[in-house]
Amino acid sequence: MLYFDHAATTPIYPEVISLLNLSFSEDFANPASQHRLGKEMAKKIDLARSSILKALDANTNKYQVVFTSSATESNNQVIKSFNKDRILHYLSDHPSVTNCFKEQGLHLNDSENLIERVSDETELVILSHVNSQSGQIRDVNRIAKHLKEINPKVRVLVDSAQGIGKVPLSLKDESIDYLVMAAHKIGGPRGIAALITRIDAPLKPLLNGGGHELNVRASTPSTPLILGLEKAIQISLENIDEKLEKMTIKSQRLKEELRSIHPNIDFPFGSAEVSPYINTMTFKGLPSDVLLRTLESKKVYVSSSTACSSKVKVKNKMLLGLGLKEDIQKNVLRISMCQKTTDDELNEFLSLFKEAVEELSFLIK
Amino acid sequence: MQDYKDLVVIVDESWLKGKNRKTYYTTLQANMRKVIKHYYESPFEIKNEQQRFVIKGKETFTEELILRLCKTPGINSILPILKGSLDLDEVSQTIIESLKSQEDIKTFKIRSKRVDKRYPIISDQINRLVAGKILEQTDKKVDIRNPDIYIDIKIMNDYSYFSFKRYKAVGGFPIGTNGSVVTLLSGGLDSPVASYMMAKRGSKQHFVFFHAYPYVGDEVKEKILKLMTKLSLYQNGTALYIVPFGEVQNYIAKHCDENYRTLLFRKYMMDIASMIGDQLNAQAILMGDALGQVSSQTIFNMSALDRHSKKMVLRPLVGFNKIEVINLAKEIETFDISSEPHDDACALFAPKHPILKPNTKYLDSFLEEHKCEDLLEKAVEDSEIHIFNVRGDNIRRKV
Repeated sequence: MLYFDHAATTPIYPEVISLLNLSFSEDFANPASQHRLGKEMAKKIDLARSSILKALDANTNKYQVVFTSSATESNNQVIKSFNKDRILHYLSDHPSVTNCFKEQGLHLNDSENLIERVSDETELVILSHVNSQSGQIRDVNRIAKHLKEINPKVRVLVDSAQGIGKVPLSLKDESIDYLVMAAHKIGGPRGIAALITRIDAPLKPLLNGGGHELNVRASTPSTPLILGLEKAIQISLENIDEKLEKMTIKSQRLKEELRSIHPNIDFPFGSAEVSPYINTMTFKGLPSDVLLRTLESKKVYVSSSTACSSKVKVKNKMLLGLGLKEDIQKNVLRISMCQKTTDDELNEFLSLFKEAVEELSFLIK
Repeated sequence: MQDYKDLVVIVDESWLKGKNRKTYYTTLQANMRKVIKHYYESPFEIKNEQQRFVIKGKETFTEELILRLCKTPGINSILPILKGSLDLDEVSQTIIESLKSQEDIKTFKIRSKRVDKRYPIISDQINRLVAGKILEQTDKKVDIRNPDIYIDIKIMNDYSYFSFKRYKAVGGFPIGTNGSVVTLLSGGLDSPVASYMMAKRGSKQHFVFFHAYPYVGDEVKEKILKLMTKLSLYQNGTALYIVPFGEVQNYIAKHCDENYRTLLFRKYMMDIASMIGDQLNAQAILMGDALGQVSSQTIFNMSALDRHSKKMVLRPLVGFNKIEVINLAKEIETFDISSEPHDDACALFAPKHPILKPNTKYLDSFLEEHKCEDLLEKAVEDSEIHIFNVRGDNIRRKV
């Protein structure tokens, strides 16, 4: 099997699985319980919190970690803590952001200048660190700082579900108010995510219940999942720059060789300021779902759009926001790798991809 | 909910049969028995009364069962019998209320019978009395020769039985009395209707769907399975073969003149259907073609395909207009399912100029050179088979 859909979700790192196995049998107590067993859980969770903050250079007096179930939940919780009419975001953001808005909110196309749109009225600006479809990287620290120069009261939410552990990001300059990330995008388990917030930033609970998670996220926390998340972060942050460099070489090779397979293959988002982990191509004249299934029949797995919306066959507002016109939207294929993708896997991928294109050549219009 | 006691089943065309009528009746009786057993837990008996059957049960019959029986080919209509008092005013009133809501019924005839001869008035008087009330209060007319509904009233010792409502059934011949065919089913509007047309004529059907994976996704299978829940009702249970067809399509597309693609896809689909038909002892294959509807359904293409077909080809919709097909599809509740959007391999493979009038020499020589026996056999072998019961439930999947 060749899995090249890591932007959708990733297999769990073996180290994380070992930890989970152990922790699921041992760490069952409720961290809110008043006995020693419970207190021990609370301590483990708090250690995970500070480890995560430390890994992101965050000042522990200014930032806190709230464990949620997913990046979607985190995005929703932050957005619902604000007046939606005073939120500025991009149409190219993940549906967990864009679907929170109907008529409200100010939606921008990627071509629009955010800085020109922010005003004294703006309460929250949402930035995707790495776009899940195009892989485009935003210099979120620089933008956040600039935004605060214009409106010091503005809060900045950075959705880094596709960024953390792949593209370096730091909370050191304190320009970011909320940071969203999920374990399953970096070799951790599904069902656990971290919402890192500035302690002074507003956050309303989505659920009413017991006072878990700093009173903003009721539900008994899952100690094993939290530990799994923390472990996945540690592993993926290790030598992040070096891994990024290696991935850049792989990505360049992937793109070059795919281009040489067929002239209709294009990479519309370029390669400067694009995460090498996400390689999104268009194949003019060949519906990407046909290519996806032909690859799937060879046990090669890719995405034809973000996994959350691949069943949506009507116009995709995310792709529109990224500047991809409707007529090419059904030709978009996302090939995403992880830190552990090897050269051998890449070679095999390329050869099977070539085989698939040859098989479908008579269909290319 | 009415308290239906017995059911009178009016037989459709089968009663016109002569010496072989018994075969038709026996089959219809067996088909009905199979349905009733699925919807009715108590013991019941079916009495053959020439043009009709009377189904008697210990418990009351539900409307769900009656409606399901109406989808059993061979039945013209069903008249449930209600138990009432001996007060004719009361009985008449129930009948009148029901008749008012049955707009398709214009004429009626009362047939009454006294089992208890002590009842103060004779049958003819009962007929006149009840008919008079109906004429007074509704716009229905009496027709003693060919009424839309017979209203039977039976006077017992302490109560009465009477019929009052007609459930229209699909008619035609019982399934199993007119051979066995393999139906080529697509996600479109036509083939389900074609299936229904031949179900009414008593043809036992097995269904084949050609799945063009990887050119189309597995989602389309869900749609086909949904269609089958409707079509299998008319079959009293059946099987669907989902044949993987992508490899065959790939082969054809790579070897033939582009303009012949669609025509040749159909040819090999017909071959596969015939092969499955051989396994099932089917005499014919059934398709939803309507003359001239699309380029592959020109008379030239149809005749070329028929010339090469290994089995007789039935095309019950050949002379239908689209609107006629749509109306029938709505009637058999397949319209909404067929209208759900789905990926279509035909559109993907469609040549710019599909052949309308095939060149005999080219077609014959292509088919001679590309028999594709192994490829077709593999497709049949790799089929996924789904079994449906009389309720239309998908009860088993064999791979």
